[in-house]
Amino acid sequence: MSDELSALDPSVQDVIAEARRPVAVDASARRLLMEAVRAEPRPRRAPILAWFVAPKRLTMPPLATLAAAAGLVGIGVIAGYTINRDGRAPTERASRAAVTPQLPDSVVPRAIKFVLIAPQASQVALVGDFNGWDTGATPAERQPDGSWATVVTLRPGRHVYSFVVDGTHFIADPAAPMAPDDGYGQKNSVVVVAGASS
Amino acid sequence: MKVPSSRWSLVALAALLVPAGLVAQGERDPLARLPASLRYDVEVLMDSARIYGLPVLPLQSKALEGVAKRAPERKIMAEVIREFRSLRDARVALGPSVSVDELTAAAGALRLGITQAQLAQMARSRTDKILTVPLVVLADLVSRGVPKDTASSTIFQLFQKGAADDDFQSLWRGVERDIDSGTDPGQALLNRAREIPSRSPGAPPASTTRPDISETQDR
Repeated sequence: MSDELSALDPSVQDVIAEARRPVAVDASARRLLMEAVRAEPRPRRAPILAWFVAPKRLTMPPLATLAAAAGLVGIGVIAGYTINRDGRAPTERASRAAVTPQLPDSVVPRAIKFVLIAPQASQVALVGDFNGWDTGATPAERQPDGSWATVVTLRPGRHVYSFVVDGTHFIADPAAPMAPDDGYGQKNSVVVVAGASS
Repeated sequence: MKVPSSRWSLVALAALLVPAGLVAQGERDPLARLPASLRYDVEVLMDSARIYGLPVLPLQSKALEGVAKRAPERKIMAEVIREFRSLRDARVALGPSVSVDELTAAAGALRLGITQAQLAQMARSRTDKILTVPLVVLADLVSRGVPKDTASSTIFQLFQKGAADDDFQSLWRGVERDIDSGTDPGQALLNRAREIPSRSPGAPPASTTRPDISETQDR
């Protein structure tokens, strides 16, 4: 190190020597400074909660991030299907139980085939209380004889339904009992699926 | 390559979880298809239904039906309220120990003009029999033009005589055929009702196989 310094310009050596010279502090000034420091309140211990809310830097490789995200989605899906396994809201299950305490816990759904003869139609769908009246949920398939058919699995009981022809025309099933007036100016049909609650 | 940190992680998480959450919400929340203001009103009515011990799915279904049929919001709400009142009145007429299907079928009959007294009369004679199919047939007959008093008294008498679901099904088909061929609806019902054999209440139905009313492809 001294060899390096001796190689420097003398003026630079003077600056270094000045910088290294201890600074003389007045004794009274030092006392005042230390008193001021002691007068400061002791720093409080950070509460545990502060650790959780304080910003943290989390570094993860993208692959691990994707894996973690996929895991969370999977947990959510599994939990959702476990809670709503029969596809009905918990409130509705509770109300059904209250209304019909004599019903067995399990009722076996049945596959029901719905047929509409409409050779001129370009598309036909089935809507009803079993699919939330969703016109896109249950499309029917054109059959070679010009009819349209679809098969839906329904729980035992009474269901109200209608066909939708070409997306806009609601047509009651001519081969099924008519439902009471729907209030919207259209006709619906009723299917009663045999089972415990019918 | 060093990918910085938590910011990218959060973006990746959000990109995955937000669509998944929306999909899950769409599957589990059919009311999401309702306009916000209508949804609020329907949910309030569904809460009231729960308090009354009434099923809420018929109300939800009536609202969704209105959306599918592109009815105005006010009309949809009016129909949901009408459904609520019908269910409540049906519950009063039938009592507490009925199934949801019986309740909704009875509510439909009430909307066609069948009285609570007529429903109560059927309920009193039901013993362990289920009212759903007789009420569905009753509603169909009235919808096809059979006078409601004729329809209700005939269905009630058959029910009292022990008619089974099969009997009501064949009655409905026969009346439908006769009406289509030009017979007066009321007369068609009376004629067909005479063909139904009398059974003591609680006796087993004539046929053990049950081509129930649900198998639409067989009709």
